Amino acid sequence: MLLVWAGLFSWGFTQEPTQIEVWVWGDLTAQFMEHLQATFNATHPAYQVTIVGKKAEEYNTILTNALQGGAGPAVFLTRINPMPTQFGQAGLSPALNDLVPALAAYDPASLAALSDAEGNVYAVPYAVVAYPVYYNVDIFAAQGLSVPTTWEEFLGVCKALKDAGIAPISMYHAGWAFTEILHPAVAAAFLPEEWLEALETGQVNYTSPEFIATFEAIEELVPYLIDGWEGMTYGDARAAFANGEAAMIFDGNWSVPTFKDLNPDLNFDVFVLPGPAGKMYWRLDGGWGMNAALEGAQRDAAIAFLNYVAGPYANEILARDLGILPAAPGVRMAQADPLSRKISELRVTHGVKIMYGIGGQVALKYSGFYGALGTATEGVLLGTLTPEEAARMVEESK
Amino acid sequence: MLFPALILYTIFVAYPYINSLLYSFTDWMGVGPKHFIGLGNYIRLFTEPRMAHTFWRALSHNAILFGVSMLFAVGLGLSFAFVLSSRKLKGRGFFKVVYFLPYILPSLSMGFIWRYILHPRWGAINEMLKAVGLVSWTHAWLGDLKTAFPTIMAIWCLRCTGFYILFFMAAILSIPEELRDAAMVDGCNRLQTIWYIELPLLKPTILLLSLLNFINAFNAFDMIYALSDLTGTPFGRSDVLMLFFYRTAFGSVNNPFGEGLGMGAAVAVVMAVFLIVVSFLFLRAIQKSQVEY
Repeated sequence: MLLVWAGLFSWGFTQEPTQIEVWVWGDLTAQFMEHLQATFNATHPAYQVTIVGKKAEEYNTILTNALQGGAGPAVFLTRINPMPTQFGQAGLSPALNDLVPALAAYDPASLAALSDAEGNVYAVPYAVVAYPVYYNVDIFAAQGLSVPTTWEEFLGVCKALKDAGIAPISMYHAGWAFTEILHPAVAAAFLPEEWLEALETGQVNYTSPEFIATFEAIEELVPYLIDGWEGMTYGDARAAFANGEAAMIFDGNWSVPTFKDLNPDLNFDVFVLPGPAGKMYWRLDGGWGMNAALEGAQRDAAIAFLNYVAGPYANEILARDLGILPAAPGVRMAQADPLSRKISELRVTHGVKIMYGIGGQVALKYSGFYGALGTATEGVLLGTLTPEEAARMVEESK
Repeated sequence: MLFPALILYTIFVAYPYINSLLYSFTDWMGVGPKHFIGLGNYIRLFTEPRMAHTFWRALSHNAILFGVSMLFAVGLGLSFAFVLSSRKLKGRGFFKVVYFLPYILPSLSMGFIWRYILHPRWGAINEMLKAVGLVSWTHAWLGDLKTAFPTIMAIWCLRCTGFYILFFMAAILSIPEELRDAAMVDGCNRLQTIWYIELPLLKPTILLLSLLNFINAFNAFDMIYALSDLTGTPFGRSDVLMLFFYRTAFGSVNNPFGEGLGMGAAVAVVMAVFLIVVSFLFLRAIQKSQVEY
């Protein structure tokens, strides 16, 4: 009997841990998750997780093909809707509502970007992205400018900079960035929350005066964009801001480490674009999904990892190492970059939840919305569309 | 002997074509269930204003690219080939290499290189214009509504011309010298020899290269993608069919399924039918124009 117990005891110690793969977009992301991987493996000796970075540009295709071909990873980062819902409805990833109890405490707006209309959550929220206005503190100080608190003040700052021969706003010519950064940032400053709620219930549409006003505001920015913006990529615009060629840029929080990397001496800060509504747009950046084909110990390992990344400790690590804004509740961000922490705090005080299109149920219903919003914004910036025409273009994409 | 080749052809050519055709009759998003919707995607492509407008706009850009490249790539290629074929010209080899060099570079790389050359703030073109006092001429070549597509077409022609020069030179040099000598003896000058003797003999080559140019112009993707983006900036002015197909089928990062793979397949099938029909007409014309000398 003693021998049997001794045998079982030693088996328990010598058994190989169950190995699973976790896929994320980009090699760099995987590298920055090394500590997350190490802490999980150290605290869960029965499991061995390997985080693998896949080519970011082709990540969606690689992941979709792998899951459909039965060669998908145990756990994977997924983009926001429609991707997770499509995976869920195709039976490629299971609903996690019961498997990850911590999901119940998450912000419903974050969960909505990973759920179907019935409330099945197909991924654990990974990170939040927020869209402040970055500004060059030294340029503002040299020109005696302070952070604007109204839209008129903001335009006044732009004019003062232009009059001083400084490009006020660095801008990119990229449809995706118009859809994901510029328009939502302006819209959050202009659209009242009542209007956003009315949009969701169908009482208003995109041709209403409030939405047209967002394009009018974008039109007002045109004189203050950096010379040659029409031929600049997103990377060019970020470099121009980092090198002090322009005083401000509309960008996501993910650019904090990029700006520091491009110019370690850059003295920059952020503010919420002021407008009648005065809000800052934020949305979920993605989620941790699970392969539905898993069985036995592999499934247990995946569930353990998902519960781990749903908790505050893992998110504290990610906030420090990756500079993300955690979607998980109760994360202190004590070790995170101060500017990332500030943006995170601004999200709490000024954040406006998903307004339209990206990640929401609209994305599931209207496949043309994403492109139409970018094209409409581009048309206004180039002067080929009036704000009314742009709003109509967005409405007609439904 | 042909059996292994037939298997490979079936797996890698026929099967994807047939599969695309079948997908085009479904509402498949690229993941999840497929539902048969008959000609729904085709009807949507030609009747839904947004889709139809984008399709015809992209098609017209491909047609313009074909026309312009016929004139400036095939036409200039033919002209340069006549000049470079002259045995009296010194440094022929050098010129051949210089003209062919742009074609050696992968078109995607060439697109990105030109993107830097044309950069509005520090690109070589604008810097040169500034250096010679033409500051008012500097602008965002690839971002300006008026200059974006002409600039792309110019780069396209610059890349292709060398390829056509080489082909035309090979054809010109294969014309028996006696025919030219006979024409000279009959009193023809060089231009008359080209017009009455060489051009008629080059007709099959001209048609063949026109066909290649047609296929290239309607399959244009990588260089244009590098010079603009998936949406054919600015404001769709450089949009072409392959960009339209790509974003319809595969979307983008946060719009991962675009309009769906079913719709994308429908676009691909329409493109394929168009290319096959026109290519068939070209091939018929080439067959009729065959000459022996």
